[in-house]
Amino acid sequence: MSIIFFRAAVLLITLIIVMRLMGKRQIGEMQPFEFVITLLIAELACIPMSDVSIPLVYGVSSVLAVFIMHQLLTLLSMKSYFIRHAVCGKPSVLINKNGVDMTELKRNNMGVDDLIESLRGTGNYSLDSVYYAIYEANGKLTVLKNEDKENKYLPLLLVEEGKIRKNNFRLANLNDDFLDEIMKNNAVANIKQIDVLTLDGSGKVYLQKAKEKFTTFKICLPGGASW
Amino acid sequence: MLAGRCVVVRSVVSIIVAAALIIAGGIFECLYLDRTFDELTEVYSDIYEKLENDACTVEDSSAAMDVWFDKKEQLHAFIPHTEIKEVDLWAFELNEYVAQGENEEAKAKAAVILGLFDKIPRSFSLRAGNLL
Repeated sequence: MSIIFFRAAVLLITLIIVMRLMGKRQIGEMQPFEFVITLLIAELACIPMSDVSIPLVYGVSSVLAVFIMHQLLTLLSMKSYFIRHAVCGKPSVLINKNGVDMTELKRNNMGVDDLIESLRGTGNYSLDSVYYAIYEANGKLTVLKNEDKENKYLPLLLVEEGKIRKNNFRLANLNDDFLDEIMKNNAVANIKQIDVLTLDGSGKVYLQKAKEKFTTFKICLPGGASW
Repeated sequence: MLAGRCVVVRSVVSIIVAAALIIAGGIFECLYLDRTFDELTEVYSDIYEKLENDACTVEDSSAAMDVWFDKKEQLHAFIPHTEIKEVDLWAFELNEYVAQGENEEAKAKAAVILGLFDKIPRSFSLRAGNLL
């Protein structure tokens, strides 16, 4: 038991030194390669910590090797724009002046649901309440707020890439006539032409047709529904 | 600007120090293992020769085992303990066979020990076969 204690102490001290030398970033602010390295280091230290048949030097040297790779990658990505993009990735503009960029959204393996969820994390509840939403390389969503648009009502996603969200239709107490009317009034021949359609409790509709700039307009909610 | 340069310098220094530690450790490990296993091979080769000539006594094999016990204390730092345990087992068996006068069996054990002494340092050297 004392051997395990000693080995754990040595590896823990090594890890603390290495993590301190790597920098102060928190898990959520890590670049992808830093996150991988952190996971790897924990595993590398764990095995020789508990398995006394593995020399302690193995744990220390593998942690040191990962540390060298981390420092090298950090240095290279500081010096070279190309390497930074290759190793860390680059930010994606998910919402621009035209609305949701579906191509960028797909590139990041996200759906409109995920985007709305991430937006809520930034304190914005509707898609038109931001001018820009940027998905940073470290996985955080940053937004440039549209101060003119106040969020008082929660929008529900009704159509995403031509697919109807029946559950949200039920929640909003809407029927097919509602969608038909929206499509007729906005010259949408086929539902597949709609990339994003949301409706909030005040009756504000956010409509983005494929490859077109989004529009917002107000409607009278059936039965004056509000949520 | 100055702070940025300090960060770069710190990164470079930490890379150099860590790389120097690993390279120095690696070279030391390689040399140390080679030298130690050469010495051990010499000791057990003598035992093997004595067994061939039916001149090996239990004192000889015990002395060889003492040399191994002495060396293995430091070897624990570099090689997996399971490999050390393996040599321990063969060394004990060899000693017992010599004590019982079963030289042919003892010779086989000595050959295995010599094989292990040849294999272990080679499995830690920087070679393509070990890297892949």
